Amino acid sequence: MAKIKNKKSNLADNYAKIRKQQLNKKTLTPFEIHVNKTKQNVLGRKSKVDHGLPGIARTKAITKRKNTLLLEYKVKDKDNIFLDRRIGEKNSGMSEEDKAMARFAAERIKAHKKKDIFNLNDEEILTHRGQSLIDIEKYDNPRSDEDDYSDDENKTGKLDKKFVEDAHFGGGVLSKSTSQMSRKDLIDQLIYESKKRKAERQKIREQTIDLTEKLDSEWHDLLPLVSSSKLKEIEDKPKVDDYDISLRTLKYEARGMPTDKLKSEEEIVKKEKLALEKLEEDRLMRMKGFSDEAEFQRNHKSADDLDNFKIERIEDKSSDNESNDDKIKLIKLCNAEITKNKKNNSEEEVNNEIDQDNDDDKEDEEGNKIDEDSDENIEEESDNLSDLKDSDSSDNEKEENVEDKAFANANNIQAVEKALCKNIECIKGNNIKANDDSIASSNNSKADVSIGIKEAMMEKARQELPYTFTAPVTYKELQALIKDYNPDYQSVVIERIIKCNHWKLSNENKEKLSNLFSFLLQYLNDCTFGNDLEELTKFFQLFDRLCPHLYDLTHANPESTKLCLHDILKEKHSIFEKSIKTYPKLDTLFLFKLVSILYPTSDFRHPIVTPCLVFMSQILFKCKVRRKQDISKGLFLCTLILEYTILNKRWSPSVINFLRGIIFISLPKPFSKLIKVLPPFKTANEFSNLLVLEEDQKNLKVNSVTTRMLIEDLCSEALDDSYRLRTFITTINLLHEFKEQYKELDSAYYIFEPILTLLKYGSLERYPAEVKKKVNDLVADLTKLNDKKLKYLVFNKKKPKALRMYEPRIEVVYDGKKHKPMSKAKAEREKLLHKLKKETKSAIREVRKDNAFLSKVKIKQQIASDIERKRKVKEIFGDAAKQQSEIKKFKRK
Amino acid sequence: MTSGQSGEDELSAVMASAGDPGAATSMSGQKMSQILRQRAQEFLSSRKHANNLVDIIGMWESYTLACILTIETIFGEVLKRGDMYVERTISLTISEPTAEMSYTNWLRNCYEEIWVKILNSIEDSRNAIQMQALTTAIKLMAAEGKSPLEPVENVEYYFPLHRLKPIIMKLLSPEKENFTLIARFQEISNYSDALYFTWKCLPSLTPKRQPQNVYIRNLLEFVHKLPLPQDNNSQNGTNGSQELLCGPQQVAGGFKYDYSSARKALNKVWSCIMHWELTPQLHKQLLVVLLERVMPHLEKPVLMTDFLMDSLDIDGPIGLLALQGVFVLVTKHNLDYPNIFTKLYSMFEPEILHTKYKARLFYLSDLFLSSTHLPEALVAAFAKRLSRLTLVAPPEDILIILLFIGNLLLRHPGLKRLIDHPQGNEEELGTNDPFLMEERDPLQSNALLSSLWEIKGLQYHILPSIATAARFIREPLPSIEYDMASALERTGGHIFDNELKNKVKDIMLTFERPSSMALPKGERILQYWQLTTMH
Repeated sequence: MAKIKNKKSNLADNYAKIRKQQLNKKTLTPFEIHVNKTKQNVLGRKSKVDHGLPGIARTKAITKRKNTLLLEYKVKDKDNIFLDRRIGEKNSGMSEEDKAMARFAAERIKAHKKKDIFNLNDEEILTHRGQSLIDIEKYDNPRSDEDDYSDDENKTGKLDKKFVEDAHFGGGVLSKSTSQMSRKDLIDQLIYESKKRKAERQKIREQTIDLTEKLDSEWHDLLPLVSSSKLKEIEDKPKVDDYDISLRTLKYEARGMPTDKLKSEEEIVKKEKLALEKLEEDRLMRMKGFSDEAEFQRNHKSADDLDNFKIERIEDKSSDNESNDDKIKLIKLCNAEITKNKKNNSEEEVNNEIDQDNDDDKEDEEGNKIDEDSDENIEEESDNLSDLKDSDSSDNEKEENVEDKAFANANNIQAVEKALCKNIECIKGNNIKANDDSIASSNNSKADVSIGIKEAMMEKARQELPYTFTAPVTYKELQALIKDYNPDYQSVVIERIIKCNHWKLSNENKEKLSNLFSFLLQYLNDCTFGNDLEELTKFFQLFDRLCPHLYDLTHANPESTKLCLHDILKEKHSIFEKSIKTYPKLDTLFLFKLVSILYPTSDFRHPIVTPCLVFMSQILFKCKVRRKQDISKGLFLCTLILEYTILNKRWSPSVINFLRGIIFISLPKPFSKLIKVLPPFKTANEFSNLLVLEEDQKNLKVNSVTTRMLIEDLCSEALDDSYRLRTFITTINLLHEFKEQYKELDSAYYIFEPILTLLKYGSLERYPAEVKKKVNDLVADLTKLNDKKLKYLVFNKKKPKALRMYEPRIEVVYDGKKHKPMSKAKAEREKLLHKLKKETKSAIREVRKDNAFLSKVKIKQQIASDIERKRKVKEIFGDAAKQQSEIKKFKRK
Repeated sequence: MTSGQSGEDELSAVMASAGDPGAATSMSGQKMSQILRQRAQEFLSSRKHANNLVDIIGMWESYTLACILTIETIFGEVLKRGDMYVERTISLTISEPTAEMSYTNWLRNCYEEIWVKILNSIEDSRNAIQMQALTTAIKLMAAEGKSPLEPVENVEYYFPLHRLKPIIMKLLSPEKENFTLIARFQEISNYSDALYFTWKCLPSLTPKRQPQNVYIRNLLEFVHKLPLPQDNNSQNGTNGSQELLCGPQQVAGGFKYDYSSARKALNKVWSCIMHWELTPQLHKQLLVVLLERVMPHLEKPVLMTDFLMDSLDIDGPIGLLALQGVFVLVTKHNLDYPNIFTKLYSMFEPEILHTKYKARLFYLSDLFLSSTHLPEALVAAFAKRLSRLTLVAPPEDILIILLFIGNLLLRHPGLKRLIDHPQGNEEELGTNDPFLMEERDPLQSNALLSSLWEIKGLQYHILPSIATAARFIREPLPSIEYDMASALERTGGHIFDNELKNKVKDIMLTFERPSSMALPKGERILQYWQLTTMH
């Protein structure tokens, strides 16, 4: 590992090495090259070695042996060996810091090893000078022994370095000729000194401890003063500022595991965006149906594809959603609790006020709270974006505010807070964005306010209703359960039923919920039978509230909900077939809307959506238009089809035909030209002038953008001019949209041609100016469609077919070698034997060379030691001779 | 015997109450029919109970259905026994009417009386009674045919015509449409003798003057339902298999079905019919009957030409039906009518798709245009016009039209340029489709200069089945023609069922949770409808 590190870190070194090699190469002389002469040149045979570099090869072999064999030889007969495995220790190129980093990284990698994955308490213990930081952080013993000793003396009480150097390895008499003391004196002195120092240190330490204790006791006396001043400070500005918020959020932020990187806001957004994009891409794929390319791609499935198979992905997503939803629900629950607490608090506050008039702070707080409440409302309004994420985030904002308040009141909300902090981390990222949104939308129109009201209603409902409901087993039960509540309450009840029987809790719940789905549909179905406006309004309100829950239920159990809808559609269709000329009732129409909410309507083919479309176009083609309700229902279906096709831009003749009929019956016909209209409308009968304005409405002011059809249009029978106008404007608006959708089609002009003639020749005299203008716009637009440049149709270009190829027939070629005919297994064995022989030979050769190398080393050692011995012998002899001569000299004297 | 005794008691009770209709109606019908059956049994078992018949006839008004059934059993049996048989030779000798004679006479009088009653019951307002009366009448007629009331002379085959005629007269009522009864009567057309004599009766029942419309309708329905088999003539030898209503009779040599005389009768009837004034509704019905039943049996079908030509000029289904007639004349009877294609061309109006004769139209035009020797410009005009029709057609028709156009393109390889015209793009093509929809003459409509852009547009049709079907223009056509026959009968309901049947493994869901009724993306309903107070 160290080597790798070296390579990585020292690019410069590497480069130098390479250059050196290059230089070496350059200095090759012809004498160093050995050329293998080939006697015959065989074509097609690669000559493996036509030249060699014996010198280089030999040095290579020798260095290799030096690095391996020689080392082994050197440690031969040795019992142990010391290896320094510290990372980067031997690498001079690494700085101290680099080494530390590398070591830390290695440590981290170790934590990721397989066997460590399941280790729960493997949190790395960080150390400082061999002591774990956790222990140090406790500071339980301020009188640590660390500072008892000075640097040059260690705490174990061993002798210091200098002394050891002198006393143990002092080199004896020769080097230390200057010291006068004897060894014993020296040691005595040393012992004395060390004892003295110890005593001194002990004394100092005791003194400091005394001082500290004294200080502590004095501090306790002073404490009230300090704390009161501090409290005052807090009370002076109870207004929570951003810093506090962020501080607290940081405080409660879950500590991320050191292994995974904390995701930044952008990353989370990006991830969500990616997921959505992926889903959108899927949807587009399905929308296109089976275009050739897609088909081609789909046919081929490799093993890799199986990993991220579509179904799995979607399941993942849904489970994501589920978990997300869970979170939201939890949050909502908490919200309810908090609001309760809030109430309590405010009551207390009122009491306090009565008790202590001078306590202004509390009043401030109260005012502050009101401010916050209004803020909250504004934030709630931002919900109307109906984006899941946003609503989610604004929910959380609310909590935070509430949480702040709770903190200021220092009440029993801590428990709730704890529950909340789990959620906060997941939302925190969105806060800023959502804030911006809320500001932008706060000055929005009254629609937002009404949503606020709705939200408030829901909130109220949440508080008043019990928290748990059992899932109804029969339809009667459900009816009994929710019949008496208003739509908001019903929605909350359903929400709680779903929550109490969440599909993740058990398998039975899944069944219960799919039952609930069908009961709800039945309930809605029954609600549509009301005939008067009030009941229908109630129905739509209920439908509006129940949609999200139906959505949840569908996601909980797609299969069974599909079957359920299937059956309902079948039933409705068979009812419709029985009286094919009359418009079905609202109980059929609302289903179509529900389908557009639950299922992607843009798919090329969808088991639920497509039958609905067939059904709708059948209604539009077959049912006779006789009454006001028929017209309204037809328009409703047209709008629905527009909604269904808004993304895939597919076209439906039924809609255009119906709208053409509506325009036909709304305009007075000229006598000069016979204008025809197709069934279900009749060119001339009592219904063919149903929508022609009775009175002159020329001066009526209408806003063609905000004009909408009303619920009462679906139930009442009275035809009046305002209804006629409404219908006409809606029709024109719808035509505008359809024109935008179909304008890409080559035949667009001819699709709209009949309508164009109708609008051109029909008299608009009685209509208000704005409507006239709108119609003129439409006429101009439709006329423009005719300017589309047409191109002749051409077949799809086909990929050229590859010629059919045959397997190459390979013949045995004579290669001069004898091949014994033998079985495959035997041939294999022969081959292996041959290889073994070759390998043995080369191994023997290697061993021989090793031996030679070793013996060379040995002989070198022998020679070296012989030389040394000889030198020493000579020296001794020399000394001896010198001594001899000195003795002789001495004797001579 | 005890049961008989009790039955007697009950009967007497009933008899007592018979005069009082209020009490009589209080009796349950089932019980009454049981009693009546018992009385009938008694009547048949011995002549002592002869008065039972009078009682039964007396209760006709209050218990019609039960009475009819009882009468049927009584007189069926009586006729079989020959109780009413009178030798005419005896009447020559003047003698005292014996008791036997007077009983027979009384029976015959009763018989005539109940015939009147039965025939009146055929006109009853209640459907069940009508039906039963007709059945009984036919059964009695059959019984009478098998055992005549009087000796049969000089006739090869005896058939009670005097019974058949009033029945048919009742069926062809000028006041009421008797379609169900006619359908019932049709059942006896399996018996060749009944069929033959019905045909024989018919001319005498057809007035020359203009009759009531309802009568015409009934008559047309009658003719429509009544078959006129041709082949019996040749198979006369193997008479045994032939089923006879009033046979087998030992008296005569056997019944001989005579096609030519039946045909003559039909022609007579038809010539009368052709003189009548017709409402459009009847006109249509007449044409249907003419085409499906009468045409092959007419002696001179060419005589119909004028009538058909007149009908051709009427738009809509009448014209279409007439066209079929003309087609038959052209193909089978050497009529020369050059404008037939122009006529057919003008039939293809959007309205035709909403009539019930559209299948016939497509079938016919497929036949007309099956020749590969037609001018390309003509066929191209048809193809182009049809493709224009798809812009307003219901889905099931679009599917038919697509197959039809496919077949046209297949038969005429030159029309390939309508869907594949690579050279054309170098030429300058204006912004307009060169095809002229308003042009009446197909040859002048410039269809060959055009392309089937409408079909390309259909590839974006909202229904996947159509979008897929419209893709055939993207690739070279197959070598075998598409089968249109199965598509002709398809309705919107079939498409719906097919879509529901489509098995899909995993169902896709939306991935954005709505917070209310509004879609997160692309909401339109709430844009145009104020359904909740919030929006």
